[in-house]
Amino acid sequence: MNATPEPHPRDDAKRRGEAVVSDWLDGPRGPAALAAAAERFEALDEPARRRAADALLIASLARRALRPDPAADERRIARAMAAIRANVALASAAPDRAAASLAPVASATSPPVAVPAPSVASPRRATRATRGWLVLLATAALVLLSVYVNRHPPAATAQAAVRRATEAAERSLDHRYLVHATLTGPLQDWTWDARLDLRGANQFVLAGRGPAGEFLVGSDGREHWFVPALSLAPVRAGRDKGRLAAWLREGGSPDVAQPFLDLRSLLARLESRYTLTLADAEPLPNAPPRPRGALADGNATWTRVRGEAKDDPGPWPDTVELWCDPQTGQAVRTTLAWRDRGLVPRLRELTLQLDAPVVWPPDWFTHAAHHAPDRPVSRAD
Amino acid sequence: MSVVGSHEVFEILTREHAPMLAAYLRGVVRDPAAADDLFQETMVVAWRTLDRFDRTRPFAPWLRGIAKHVVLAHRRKAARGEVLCDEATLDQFDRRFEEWRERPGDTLDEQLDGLRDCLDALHEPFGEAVRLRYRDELETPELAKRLNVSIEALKKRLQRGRAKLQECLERKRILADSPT
Repeated sequence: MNATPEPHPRDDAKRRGEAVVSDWLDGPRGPAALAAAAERFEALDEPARRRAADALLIASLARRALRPDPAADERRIARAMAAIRANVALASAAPDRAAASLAPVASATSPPVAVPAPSVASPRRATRATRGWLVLLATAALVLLSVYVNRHPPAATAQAAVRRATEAAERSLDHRYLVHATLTGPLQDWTWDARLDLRGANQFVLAGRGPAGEFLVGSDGREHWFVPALSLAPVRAGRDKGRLAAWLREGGSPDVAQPFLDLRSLLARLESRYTLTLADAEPLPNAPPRPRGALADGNATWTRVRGEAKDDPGPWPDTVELWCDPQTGQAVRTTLAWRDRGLVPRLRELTLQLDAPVVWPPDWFTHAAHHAPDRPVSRAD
Repeated sequence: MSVVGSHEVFEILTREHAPMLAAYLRGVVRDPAAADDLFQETMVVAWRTLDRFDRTRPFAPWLRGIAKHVVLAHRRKAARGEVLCDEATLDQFDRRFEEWRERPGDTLDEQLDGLRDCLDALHEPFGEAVRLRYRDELETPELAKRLNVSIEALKKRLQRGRAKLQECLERKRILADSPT
């Protein structure tokens, strides 16, 4: 008689760990079922618990990979910052209460205000807490100063403002910029307008008008794609980033404008190849509302940086003006201007203007979100 | 630097690490609203104890260290099974997040490209079950009905799907093989 072979210890640990996670994640939601899953988890040995941890992590990351939700990230950040501000305010007004307060701000089950826990501190303890909080705040400010100087120099200089704008452009937030280009052609001047939707540094949708109508070029960070204006033409898609330029040209965007649609590269070049000066802060006409999660509102003045090319800029602009949000560093308007060097066609001016705050649907940066479901897709690789 | 200025700096750090922290907490806390509360609590504790942060070291592991204590404290107070972890589980999470941090990309969402490749390559019927669960957020009874399978069969599919994702990540050397 053949005995059933014993499973390899590693496989056995894997199976037991994953089974418990399966019960917890995918089983009934009632308290008794969750408690039973927890009991089984506690009975696992260490290798099985490690496998359980891996299964839990995979589930969490799969959720994030398949359903990114920048709006939820924004809400969490705004809540955390509101709680910290409330804590600091309490520390100033009544430090003993602040020290005891960690109640959630505006959670799903509580009103949108800080709810300090009742104080149990004696007067002496309260005094110690006051001193402790003052010391803590002062020390935190010093630590933050050093962290800030190393990582995020204050925007007291034009270079720092541009660097912050670059960092802001790299964050995985949703934005729309309106692009307006003025060009000089062989016969007359003309303008070209486009919408540029961004999520962080690598996902974008550019919608522009060409001779055949509106076309779209975009990327979800992995696959790049082109939706031609003619609805009979197949959508093009592939992982070769090098095709983007040809697609933009085919759609009808002016060749000369292409290099300047990548805000991050533009800002990086501005920092290294231009002489920067900090201009007077001033109200910006048609500026969008403050981004979500900003620490303060009102007083809509913007950090304004002017850049002059240090040497012959070639195809790059002679001057750049950048308006940034002083709190987040985000580029609100970037205006590029070229002198007349007798070239035709040439760009005279190109502006990227931040539009009102937006949150794009999860699939916005895939081509499928922008054409009929039965439209053929031609894959280049 | 003023406190207002410090807030701005801390908000920058918060933004940079928020996706990682949210994924860490959501991994072991069943209720999304409770996970969001723990996110806030972790950030408040981080703010209050920032003077203990050794700035020669990376911020993310320090933040996860705080999150670990916040989660374990919550576990002691919460109903049994609301949180599924112990100290060793959270240490394993920490090791895994460090492995993810080595991936190309500036943000966690960019660093998840390897996982997206594995999700794309997931064979049926596991791929469909995993996508409907995590992309469309269908709960087990609804999902079982959609796929016309029993709840037990669906649980097996999801379990196998997650295991295959882990195997794929280990093959791609995104995750190191787990020692037993």
